[in-house]
Amino acid sequence: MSQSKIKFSCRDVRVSYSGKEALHGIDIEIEDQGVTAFIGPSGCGKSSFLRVFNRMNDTIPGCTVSGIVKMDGEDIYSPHLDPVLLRARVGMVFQKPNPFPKSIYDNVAYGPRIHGLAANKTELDEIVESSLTKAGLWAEVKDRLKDSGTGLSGGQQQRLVIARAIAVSPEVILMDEPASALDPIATAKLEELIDELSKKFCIVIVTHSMAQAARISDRTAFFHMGNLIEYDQTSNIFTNPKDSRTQDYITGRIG
Amino acid sequence: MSEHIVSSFDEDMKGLRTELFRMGHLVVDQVNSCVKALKSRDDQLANRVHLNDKQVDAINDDIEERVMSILALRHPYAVDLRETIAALKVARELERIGDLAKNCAMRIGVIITDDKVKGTKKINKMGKQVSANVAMAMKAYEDRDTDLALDVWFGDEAIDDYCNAVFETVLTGMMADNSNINGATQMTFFAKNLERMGDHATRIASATHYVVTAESIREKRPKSDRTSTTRYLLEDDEDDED
Repeated sequence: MSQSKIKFSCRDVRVSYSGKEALHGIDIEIEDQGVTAFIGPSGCGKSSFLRVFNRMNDTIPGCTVSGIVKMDGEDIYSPHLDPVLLRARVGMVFQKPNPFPKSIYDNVAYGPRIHGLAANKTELDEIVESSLTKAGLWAEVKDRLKDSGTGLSGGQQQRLVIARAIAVSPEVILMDEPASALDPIATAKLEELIDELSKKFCIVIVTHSMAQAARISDRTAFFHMGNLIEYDQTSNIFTNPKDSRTQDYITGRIG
Repeated sequence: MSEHIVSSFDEDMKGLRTELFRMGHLVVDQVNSCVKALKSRDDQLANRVHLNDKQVDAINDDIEERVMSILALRHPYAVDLRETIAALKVARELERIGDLAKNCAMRIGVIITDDKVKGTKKINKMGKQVSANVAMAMKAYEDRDTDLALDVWFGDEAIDDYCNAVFETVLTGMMADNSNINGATQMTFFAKNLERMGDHATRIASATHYVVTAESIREKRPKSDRTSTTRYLLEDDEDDED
């Protein structure tokens, strides 16, 4: 594997829900550059593992995480670390677009406001415009920034929440099946955006679409029954996987 | 290999495989027949090889369509992707072998009317070797047998050696007696065509290796065909040079 800087380094990461272990000791290193995709059948633990990177599991009652997760060498489960600040550095986009019931402008301005990233209105305007531009949405919404974010189409809403995530200048964007509720055109626009964003951000994406993982990711990790089975360059995974379980999954032989 | 969850995908792959094997058997028959037609001086059999080539081409077209449809509709990955791509490669090699067999068959009529052409025994041996290698290449592909594929790969050297020997015999024969030039010229083309069939067989062997290991054969293929660069001399000339 080509080595760029390591963003996340995980050792023996286990996730349990009310004492039942869902992930059985994952060791993985996520590179800073490019897109890493997590694939695997439903219930394999890929989404649970994604939530490890911004401690979203903390918010789930009964969920415990053990093992070591380091971001740029720093333990993100250290008691000295504020999860709220962590989530500003590690943004997340979900399956269903979840804009706030506020204006388009306020959706994007929300993060910079609470984190105090803008000194005045002009700076905030600049952040909103540049975030919407990076998310590929500016041209479509610039004349109706005061309209409600929830009035946009599904694809636009997904790009709006990406703009909202970008607005706080994160280092990482986690995406949990971000295109599964979108039509093919909105999906194509989102994939084009992911490709563009991957030049500036570390992106980790969970997807059920094998074709999507193949199209947009540089590295792919295959999870099965709570274990990381195989992790390699995406081109290797889809042409010559080493593990028979990976092969059976991606060729449609096991679900 | 276990079955796909979508059983019609299995049927598509099976259909592709069946057609390719059918094409393989037909082409092996074509090569055998054209070698046999030369040996037994059977113009009718040669004619049949000529006519049968249309069938080979038709199966090739069918395989191309099947591959296109699998790529477009099934989006194959991993071993399915490799097998689909390999089928396209192997069909192309078989189609070329078929063309060469047809081309050989067309030359048989002239060769067999010329009694004085030298090298008949050698070219028959060469033909047998090429037939065997093409058949072995297809068997290796059908059985996913990489060892047998490597045998085909390295076995090509013997074919090149035969080709050199045929050229030497036929050309020196022509120099000694130019009344056999018609048949002898066709014989050199016949030998060169056989030699190229052998080359296509090695590419089928490499495709087998690719399906199984995701890599083509890395070993350098031994090449000893010298027919395009060698000047063949009459034995007398050689004596003069000493």
